Amino acid sequence: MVELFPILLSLRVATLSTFLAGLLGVGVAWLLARKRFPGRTLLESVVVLPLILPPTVVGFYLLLLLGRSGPLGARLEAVGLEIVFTWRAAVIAATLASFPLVVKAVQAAFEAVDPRIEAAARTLRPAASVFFTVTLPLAWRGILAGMILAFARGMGEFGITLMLAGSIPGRTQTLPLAIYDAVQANDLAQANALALITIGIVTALLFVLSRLPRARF
Amino acid sequence: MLDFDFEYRLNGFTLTPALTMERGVSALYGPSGAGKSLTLLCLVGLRRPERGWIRLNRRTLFDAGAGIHIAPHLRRMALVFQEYALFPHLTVTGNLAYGLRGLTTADARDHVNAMLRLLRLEGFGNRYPSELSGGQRQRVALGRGLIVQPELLLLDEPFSALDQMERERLRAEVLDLLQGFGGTTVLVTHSLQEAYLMARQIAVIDGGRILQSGPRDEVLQHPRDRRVAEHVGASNIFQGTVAGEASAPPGIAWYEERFNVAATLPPPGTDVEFCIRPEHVRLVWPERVAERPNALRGRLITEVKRGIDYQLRFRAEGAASGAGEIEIHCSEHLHSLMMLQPGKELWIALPPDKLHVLTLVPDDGTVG
Repeated sequence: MVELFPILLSLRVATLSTFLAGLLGVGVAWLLARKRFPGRTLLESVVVLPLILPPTVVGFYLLLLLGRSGPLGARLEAVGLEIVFTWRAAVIAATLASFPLVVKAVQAAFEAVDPRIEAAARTLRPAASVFFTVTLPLAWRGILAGMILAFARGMGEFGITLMLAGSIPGRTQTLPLAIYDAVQANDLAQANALALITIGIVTALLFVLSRLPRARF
Repeated sequence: MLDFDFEYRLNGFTLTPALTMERGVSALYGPSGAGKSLTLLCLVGLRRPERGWIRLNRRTLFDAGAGIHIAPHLRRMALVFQEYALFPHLTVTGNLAYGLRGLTTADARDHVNAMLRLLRLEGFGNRYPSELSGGQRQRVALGRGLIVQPELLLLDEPFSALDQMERERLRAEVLDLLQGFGGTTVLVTHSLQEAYLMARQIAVIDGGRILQSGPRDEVLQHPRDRRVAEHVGASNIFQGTVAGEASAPPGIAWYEERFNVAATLPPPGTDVEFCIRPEHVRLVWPERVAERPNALRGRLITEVKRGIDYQLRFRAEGAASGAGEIEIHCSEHLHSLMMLQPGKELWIALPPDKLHVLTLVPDDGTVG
């Protein structure tokens, strides 16, 4: 019998982390694509760090930061929010891992929008309206591609999750961790079933991505 | 009326344009990198100058001292770009209606329909920009700006992307559409011909500064200094000294020649630069040299046939040969009549009323 919990947990974690990484990533991508400010180059480098550093390293420092005695973890625990070794930690891990992918994809999409189109729009409407009626619609394919990448990355997150959320069956054991666990326990049938399900979900996503309506322009 | 004087710095480039532009079409003319587009961005408020002010019909849009910086969409300006920068994801109607805010749906529809009629685009309201011809896109871009009844219309190189025939047709079309526009239009262009064809006033900009502005013929015929002369095609620029003998009207001593000049000259002894446009240099039949003031003898060096006319290069003989070559434009008719060819000996004359005295500028091109 295939375990359902890891599948549902991974779907939930990937959905939430895609949402969070998307929200943050679109903002940061817009800053990087359209604004010149001191520290821009630094920000651009820091954004890709989670992609470059070993996941265990990222996980380790997150653990120090968010752990019960960590500077942020202690405060969150004071208001009753437990992070480490809960499903929330898995969401944070997946968000951080997919964040650079979102930023890079969306930044490229924003940079592809002709700044003159935005300039013409700015003489007719306020900046916020231009962002939502011109910039976003013109960049939406890139943004969606970034989101789908983020979801796939969230589904597959392993290293940071293991460090921060552990692999507690029925609590924090996501799909990739469950596969690893099944292999460790020599339950190859279980590992195979979970792996095939993962492949199915990711393939379905790529299919959706390829079927996005062609742009009219 | 648009009135501005500001300073904006970007990566070592300093833009300090100061200008007054009246109602009607004015051109901001200069080479690439002169600061034309940056000036536009400052005018519409997408860039904020460090110093100075911008006023439109006595309304202050920007004043560094007073801390005033009105947002672009509140300045009552519209911007039309090369390639038109239409919203590709919106229909013609969507593009036109973009700036119509605070209107009821019915009112907005009336405005759009009226604009579609004006642009002769009835029936095209549901098309996307990609489904329009270049001329139709141009009209939509203009209409998108004009529909909000701006006080200032800014055209940024609107015709540069077109071929010659399209360009001429669209220029006429744009001028036609602008007939009904009572505001100020600023055309940014690097084409002198375009500036002259479209605008009554021309402002010459280079190195981030307005070198000269005024009625188009004034700028073309009477460039202020060497730099403007070069920009407006008054390519024959000479150095001389004002000569003043009691017996004769003042003139300019140039090598061993003495030119009569119709305009008022500075006091005798002053070093001056003066210029003449290539199309104003006269070719003179040898037997009529005596009738012509300011005649020079020399040789035709090169000729370039340019379709409808010839561009000739002439070098005077004697001491004046040190002055370099003189550019002359002449018609194909005259060229064949005089049987011109490189190497031919030739008389030319510089009509006194076409010799124009320039203000001296320091050699390094910077001026206080």
